[in-house]
Amino acid sequence: MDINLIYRIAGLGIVIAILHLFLSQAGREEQAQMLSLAGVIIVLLWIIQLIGQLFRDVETVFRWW
Amino acid sequence: MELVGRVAGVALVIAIWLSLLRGRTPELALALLVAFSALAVGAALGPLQEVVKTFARLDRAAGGNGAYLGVVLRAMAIAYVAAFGAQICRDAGQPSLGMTVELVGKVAILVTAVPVFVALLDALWRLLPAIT
Repeated sequence: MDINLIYRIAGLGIVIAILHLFLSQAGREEQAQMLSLAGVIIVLLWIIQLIGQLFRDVETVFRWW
Repeated sequence: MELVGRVAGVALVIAIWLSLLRGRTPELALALLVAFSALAVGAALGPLQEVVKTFARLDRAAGGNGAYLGVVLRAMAIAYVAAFGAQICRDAGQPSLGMTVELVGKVAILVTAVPVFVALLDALWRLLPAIT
């Protein structure tokens, strides 16, 4: 169980939340939205690889025939 | 045992972290949830492989040709994947998507199980003239 990816996602979530707070306090709502979008896309790229690995693992475990 | 302890501990930390993230960036909270679920299920696959190997050995010892065990294992794999996807969709606040995933999983299992049903009917057909 590789826990590093969880830590990376959690850290990125906190960093993006704080930056989003700063940017929206500074009155740059559009840039804050773009920042959130970028964070979501980065995390989605990681998660897609993870889910693909999981489905491959399921296939190898149950491929007995 | 050790696996359960690790997963439970990490799940506790993730639960606290999720309550922190959910107010500010709900989409990243969902991503964290998906990542943890995928990792935990992936970690549970290792012990599951031993069970599958044991079933395969039992099937060989009983003289089976592996066709029926293959059907059972395929149905198990479909059920696991469908339950995982449905639960993720439900956590994301889209229960109808989860229900669709579950429905497709049920249909897939049904299609997988049809050869067993046909084999059962064949066996009955061979048995019936012997009785009458």
